[in-house]
Amino acid sequence: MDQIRIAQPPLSGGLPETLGWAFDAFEATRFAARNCEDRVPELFATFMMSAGAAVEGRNAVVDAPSFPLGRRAAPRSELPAGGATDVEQIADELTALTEVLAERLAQAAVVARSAGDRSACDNAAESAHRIRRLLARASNETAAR
Amino acid sequence: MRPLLGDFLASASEQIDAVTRFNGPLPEHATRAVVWQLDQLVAIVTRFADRFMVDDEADRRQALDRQVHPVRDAWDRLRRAAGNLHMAAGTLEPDGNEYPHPAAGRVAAAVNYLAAGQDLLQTHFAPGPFGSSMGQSEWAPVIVSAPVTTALLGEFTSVGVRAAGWAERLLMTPRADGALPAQAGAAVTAACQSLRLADVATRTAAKQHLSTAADRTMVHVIPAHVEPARYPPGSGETVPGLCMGLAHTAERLRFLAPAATRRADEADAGSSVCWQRTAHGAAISGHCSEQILRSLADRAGQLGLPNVVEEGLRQAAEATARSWMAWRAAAGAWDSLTTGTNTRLTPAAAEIGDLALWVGRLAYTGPAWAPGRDHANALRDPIGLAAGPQDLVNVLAAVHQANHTLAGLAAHDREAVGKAVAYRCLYVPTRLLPARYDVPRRYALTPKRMADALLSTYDAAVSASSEAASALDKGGGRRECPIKGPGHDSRGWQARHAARAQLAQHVG
Repeated sequence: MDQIRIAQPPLSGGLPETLGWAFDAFEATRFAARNCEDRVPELFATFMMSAGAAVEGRNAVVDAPSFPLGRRAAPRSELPAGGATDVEQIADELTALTEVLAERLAQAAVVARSAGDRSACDNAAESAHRIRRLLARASNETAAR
Repeated sequence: MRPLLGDFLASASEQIDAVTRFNGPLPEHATRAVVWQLDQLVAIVTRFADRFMVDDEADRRQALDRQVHPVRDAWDRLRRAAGNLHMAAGTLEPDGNEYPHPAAGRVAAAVNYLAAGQDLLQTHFAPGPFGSSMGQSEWAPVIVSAPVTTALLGEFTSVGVRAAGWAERLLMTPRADGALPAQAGAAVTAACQSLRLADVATRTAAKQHLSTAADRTMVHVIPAHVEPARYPPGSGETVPGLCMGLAHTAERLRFLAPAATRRADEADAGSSVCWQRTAHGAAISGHCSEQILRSLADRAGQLGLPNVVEEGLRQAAEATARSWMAWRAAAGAWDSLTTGTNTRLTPAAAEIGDLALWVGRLAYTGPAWAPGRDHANALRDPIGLAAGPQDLVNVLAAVHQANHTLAGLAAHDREAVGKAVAYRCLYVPTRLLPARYDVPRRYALTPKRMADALLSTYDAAVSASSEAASALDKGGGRRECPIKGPGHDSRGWQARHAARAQLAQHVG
């Protein structure tokens, strides 16, 4: 994660920690996507839809009963200004991040005890999948890298 | 394809044309049936007048005499004719055989077509408070405008007067069997005379209201206000196919959007998810439309069209750019706000993506373009978008439909979001608040300044979207284009143009 500054997913801990991290990850994704919307016209729709999915995923996480409440300000992501090259790199990093996010949330859904947590994790995982699908390179392009 | 009023008027007219070719004597049972059907037919024409001629000139009408208000005169004559025919029909005993004669069957068919036409007009109105009715389509104010109502009355009356003229000729022929009792005969004669006078009054009214050929044409292209079927884009559509799909989807969204705003159940009126998705779809559609308009402007120059065309298109592109930026701001305003856990989508929010796909596939070269990095394609060449002036007109017409729809969506969403703000249904996830706030809940009520800022973004979207739609109305492109394309010739397109002109003239 060179351009998207976000803490690593918790290696251990319970559902609240995972949900807290997922919130921050979605928020970082939203912030990065919004900042990239204008940079490449051909990717305007891609980043705009990604930001929307990130908001939906983040809000789904908040609705989980196990979501940690109380004092915790969301981290303010920062992105370096840059041109098309940076956008490609950011998109790659967001793809990687949301892949991990989807995986962690799917795992959390499996172990969650309450139906509310399961449903929230499933919805959030779906949002993460959507972002990953939007931002992933074409398969042949990926193979060529 | 949706039925048009003209389809029913033409069919009714065909039936009357066919029946007037019948000159033979009518048997007694057919005489009765013809009178009954005439009664029905004139009742429908009168019902039309009763339903649609109640305009806001009522007071003025009462103050002036018939010479200056032929519409009122026509209306009175129609009622008198209806009364006479009803009386004539009442004097005739039924024989249990409803349409025993082909001539009566033809008149009955004409009655059904006119009734269907009237039902079609009715689809543009919904019940309002205190027994009133409210327009629920962009056609409604056009239908009740004086020139169009007069033209409509003329169409309905002409069918009635032709049928009555034929019937009078046959029924009044002296017959040995005395098929029509004297009282009924006198009533039919009086009714026919009233109908003829109503016809004359209607023609005079048409002149007074300056009903033009365009008004009469418009009457025929009034569509039923029914929900167009969903038409999601397939892969590999041609440019004309994309234009058609775009126009169709834009029209469907215009139908779906008010439905959500009217929902009595506030929970179904929308949510932050709906409004943000709509804003995203609108911004993406507008972004693509701007690219298309810039390409069309380039193409207009290449084709040697008048400078005003190119200039108009560039101005429209600028206005469209302001529109999508305003929509993007509205979408961004939702980033920190939510209405809660309701994520059910309104129909318009669920299908706004279709519009974005149609416009995107028109703007970009990829036949299966969709938002996504793997679908990022180059823009279409101007020549690929519009080979000739006719193609340019068609593409422009489709983009205009999209802009018109986005203007409507902006207004509807502004209204719904305004309600959410008024009912204090907006929340902020507390985790997004600065660290000095320690709120042990998921959400906090949205501060007033954030709610006001949200509404401001919608006000800007409403204004910019309307300006983008107007820019295409005013833009020199379409009017100055020397060739009228299929989009321009299509009935629906002509009608919408006529409707807008009528709205400006009669409603504004």
